[in-house]
Amino acid sequence: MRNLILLFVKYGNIFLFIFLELICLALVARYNADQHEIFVNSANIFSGKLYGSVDGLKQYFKLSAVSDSLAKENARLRKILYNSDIDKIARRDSMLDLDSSLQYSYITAKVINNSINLNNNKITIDKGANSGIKKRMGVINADGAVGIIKEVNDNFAVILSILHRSVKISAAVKSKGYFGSLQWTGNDPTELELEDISRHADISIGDTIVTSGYSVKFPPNHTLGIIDTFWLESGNDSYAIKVKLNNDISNLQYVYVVDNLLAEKQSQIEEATINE
Amino acid sequence: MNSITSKIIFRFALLMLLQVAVFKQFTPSWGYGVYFHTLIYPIFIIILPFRLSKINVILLGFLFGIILDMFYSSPGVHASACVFTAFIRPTVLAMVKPQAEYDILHSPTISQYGFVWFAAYSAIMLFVHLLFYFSVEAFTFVYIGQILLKTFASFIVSYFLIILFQFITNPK
Repeated sequence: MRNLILLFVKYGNIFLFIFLELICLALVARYNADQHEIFVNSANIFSGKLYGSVDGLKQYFKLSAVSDSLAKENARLRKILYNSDIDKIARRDSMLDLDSSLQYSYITAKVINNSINLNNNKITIDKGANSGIKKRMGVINADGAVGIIKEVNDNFAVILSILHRSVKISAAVKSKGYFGSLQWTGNDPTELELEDISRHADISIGDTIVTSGYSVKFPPNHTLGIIDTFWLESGNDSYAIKVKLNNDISNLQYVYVVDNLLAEKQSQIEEATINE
Repeated sequence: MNSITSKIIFRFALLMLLQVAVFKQFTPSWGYGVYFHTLIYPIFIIILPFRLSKINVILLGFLFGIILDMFYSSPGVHASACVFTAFIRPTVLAMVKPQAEYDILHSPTISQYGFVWFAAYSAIMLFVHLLFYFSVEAFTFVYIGQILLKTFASFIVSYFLIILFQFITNPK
């Protein structure tokens, strides 16, 4: 027994080191597997508050840039309001208007925490369940997509950024109709990779990439970026396409959470046929 | 509470605040900027006084890391790096032992053992810390190229800041 105690006195630091290191690695592994721990996201009250006040300070230095972007956004919206074209052709197949005239409504939120240099990046915003935000909603800003809501509490929500390796966005080549999925490869925060575009597709550098609208998370035809380069890997049936992002994830101020009012109905009918 | 304890608590809070409120916010967005992480907090472990036992150094490192992880939303990543750095501290200190023996009442700082000695000692500690940190962050050695690139890039900025921090605060 005495020897055992002496052993602990002599090598206690090694035991403690191994013990704590195991705890840490268990935490890391668990966090990689799923992010349900409240500890994991910065939406917990403590750090959320601190980031809120740090961000308040940072805002002062960005005021002019923010008001510029808001003014631009206003101008764009006004254009849609007053000059919008009248659709003269009656579309009888328009299933979106059956019982509701509005399909997408947007919740404005301010970004209070953001990162771009990790392997899996997340964004915290200052609106939560109290403002009607739910899990799995899409998030956009004026220039492109931002991410998908992962965790929500009353006052904050955490977004898996599009710079998160597990986020895939259904995207299409504008006015050509080819569609695939857009995903980050973990290197350049201004570049995403578009997969599953068949080798027969007629695409060229500079083509605009937009949201396809096939998934319920994002409205269709929202610009995401342009094709930067593309090539065909040998033995592969689809192109590897690098897409330059239209928006700058490193400089986000305000974002819009997409509330698709028909999401439930679309998911319902899609799930009904899932086993066919 | 004696002065050494309150000094450590103060330094703990100051470095935590600096790291989270200032250096975490500097994220360069241009091309290779993503490789530059500014981590100043390893100096907390580097200059802990000699009179603390090995076990206390490891425990303090763990505490610092786990609280920092709350702000970085990365449970365990910073903590494991801190624990490792704290654990190898005695080994590194033995490696760079100066002519005179270490005095148990002192801390490993510039004012005690000179600039050259501190530059070598803190360089080894910081490099080990960064390498361990980026390895755990990636959680696999598949990305070894990126891990090394991030380690070297971050080392440059962080090392500069740590030396600067030493000169500004200049603890005994």
